[in-house]
Amino acid sequence: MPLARRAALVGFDCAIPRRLEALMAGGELPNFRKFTEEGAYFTEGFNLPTVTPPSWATIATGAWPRTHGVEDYYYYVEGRPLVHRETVQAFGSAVLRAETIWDRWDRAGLKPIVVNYPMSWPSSMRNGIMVMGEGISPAERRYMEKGNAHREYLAAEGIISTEIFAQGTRVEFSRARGWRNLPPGRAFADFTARVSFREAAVPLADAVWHGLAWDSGAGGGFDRFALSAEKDYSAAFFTLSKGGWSEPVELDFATAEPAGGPPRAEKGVFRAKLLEMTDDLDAFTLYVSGISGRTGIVDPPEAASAIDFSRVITANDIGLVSYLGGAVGMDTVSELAEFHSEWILNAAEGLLKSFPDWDLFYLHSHPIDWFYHGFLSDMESPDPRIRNAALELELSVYRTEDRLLGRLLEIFGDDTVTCVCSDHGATPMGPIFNTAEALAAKGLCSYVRKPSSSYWDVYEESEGYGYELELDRSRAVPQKYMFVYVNLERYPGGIVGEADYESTRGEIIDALLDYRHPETGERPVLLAVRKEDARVFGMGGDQAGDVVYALKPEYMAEHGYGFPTGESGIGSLKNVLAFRGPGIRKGLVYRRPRWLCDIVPTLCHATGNPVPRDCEGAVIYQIFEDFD
Amino acid sequence: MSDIRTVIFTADAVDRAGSAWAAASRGTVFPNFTFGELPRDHAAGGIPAASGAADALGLIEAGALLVNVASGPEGLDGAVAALEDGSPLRTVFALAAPDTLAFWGHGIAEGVAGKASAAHTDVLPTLAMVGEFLLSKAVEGRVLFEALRNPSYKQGQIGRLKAALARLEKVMKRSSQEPWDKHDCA
Repeated sequence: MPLARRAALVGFDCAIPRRLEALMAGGELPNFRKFTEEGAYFTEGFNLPTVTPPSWATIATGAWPRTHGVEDYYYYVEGRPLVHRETVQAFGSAVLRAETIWDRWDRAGLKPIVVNYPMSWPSSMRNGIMVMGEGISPAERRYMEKGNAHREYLAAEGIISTEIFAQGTRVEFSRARGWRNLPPGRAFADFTARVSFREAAVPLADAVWHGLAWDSGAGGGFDRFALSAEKDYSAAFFTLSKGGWSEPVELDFATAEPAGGPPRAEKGVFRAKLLEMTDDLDAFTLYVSGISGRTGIVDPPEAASAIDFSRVITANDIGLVSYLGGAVGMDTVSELAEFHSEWILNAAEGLLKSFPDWDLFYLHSHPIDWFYHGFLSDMESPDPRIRNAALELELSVYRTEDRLLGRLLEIFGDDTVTCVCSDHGATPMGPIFNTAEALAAKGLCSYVRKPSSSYWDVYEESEGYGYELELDRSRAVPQKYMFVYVNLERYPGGIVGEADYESTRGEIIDALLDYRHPETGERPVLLAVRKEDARVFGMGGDQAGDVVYALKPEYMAEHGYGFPTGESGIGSLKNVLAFRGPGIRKGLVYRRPRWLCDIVPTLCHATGNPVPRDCEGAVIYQIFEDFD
Repeated sequence: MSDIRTVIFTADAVDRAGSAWAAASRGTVFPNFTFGELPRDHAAGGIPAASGAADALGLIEAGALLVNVASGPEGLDGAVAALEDGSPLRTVFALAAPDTLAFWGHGIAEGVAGKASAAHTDVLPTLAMVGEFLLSKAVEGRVLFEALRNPSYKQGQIGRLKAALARLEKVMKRSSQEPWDKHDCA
């Protein structure tokens, strides 16, 4: 007899159990607190590798990474050279080799709804509904993109400024001329900007926008700004004062079709924030959010009508890249996290209410991970201003996610067994372990400085920047986060014969284990094993390197390199795991290690619904009131 | 940042009821001014000499612009109006006549009556604190700090350029990461 009519999973990327516990203990996060008090909470959530794509793939399939085929943030494409830069990001359903829970339930005639789940898109469901998840933010694609590249629907954020920004359009103010319907004011200045839209999944034509600044007479020089597609203030998208956000602006954006093709209009929504405007216009900076589209991101397409896209923006990466690039401050990051969460809730709510006969709901939300990548190390800063600012922002982001959780739980109702989880935790930045350096020390690989005629190139030997691997002089190639490949002759540029494979592997393992970090004098490698030995902990599949290694947690950069037991400073690599719902024991604190592959079988057991084909995890019987 | 233009008007007389004076007196005026030789000898090669308002607009892009108005107060009013209207917002102006020294425009304090005594040799050093033109080693004057909205304006500009450079370096670093570098899921 099923315990629950349906199941839901709400995933908060990189939520760290000890941080969640600390915030709840401090009286914060009422919805997380209620969830854990009324359900079963796990203190030892394990997963390996501690990386986004393989973890969410495991959470969706119940299979180990060696089975579902995703073992890293990156994916090696057969036939390419082994160098890391040739790998692509491992997102989307195309890389998955295991069946997901939604595909299995869909096959059984049930109705799943999947929103922004990293390994989900494109959908192959017949009954179910999916909102694009082929990356870490909704409406973006990363599959087959290298490095950090991604494509957004419709375009990435930008800056319009008198200053120099990498993602910026530079402008210069002149005395305003030719405007109609000017507002009351004492002096007017304007610019005309040709704005290009970057990282667009569908190339967009440039737009010509006009900025108008004026002195409203409040006594402080230029203090108001408006942006418009024409020199008519009555048609302005918005009017802002310094520090203010615009309301969502909905416009038609023309696509830039290939030669001969007719352009079409794509509806997009954005917001802008006036970051800086001095009273003499000596400095002006306007942040323009990413342009959020709506076509091509919902399957089936007709289900998109259940979502009102006109008032929300995706706020991809909550402004982390702009923050790291010095364009926005932490206050803007906090605000963008809210906007991002609004978009996700808006999509989820629209679908859940329009299709109340849903049976399964899977959702992923990423702001906490972005926050930790930007600020986790700051949370331990010896400077109290930096430390406190980071702690405040952490609380702000968790509160945002708490509100999202609360709203979703209201919609789910009482007949839903819900799992709240994260994919991994994070630890503060430690000394960087340069794998190539460790291998080169034993003559296993060779690097040269990156050849460049650019004045701007920055070389930092100890951090591995600015190197090119010499494949023809490298018997070992570090790739992705935890792997080293033997550069066999069968790979492009390979130099190791098959007869030397095992001996080379042995040398690689020795080199990793022997290496002492120049900063600490200690050995940073926790474990280095043959690929087949990694199968013991769920890895070692086709996407694993010939040697699999893990680092001690104090050497990591947030997550991706070590065991889930790793703890360092304020951080931990364990993942959050909790269940609540009909038939689930209330107030249970489960202290044994459980793996993320146990989620799917547990949800299937609770609902009596079929188990996906490749599921390898175990039902967590102890969380049920009557597990006999 | 966009370029800051500099325009210097020299004239034999200024009509205190005229539009040129109305514009100039919005900024900082030095009543105690000594007008000697024209400051051409102190100009670096980058400052072109021009005569007549008809040519002035075409030379505005070259940097500091010296406009010697020989056609009397009405001519001065016309030249100032034409160049003010046609110049970008970030333009600093100066007007030097036998009994008049005034600065106005970008970076200049507004509505100030300068207390210091000023000489013609002070014009270029003062303007150089805001404008973007070269000074020669022959410069002898001093900076009339009263005329400046922000005496540390240049330092602020340098700071903003350094910040821009740091931003660009961060972006370039992030785009060339190896797997052992910092990863940020973004």
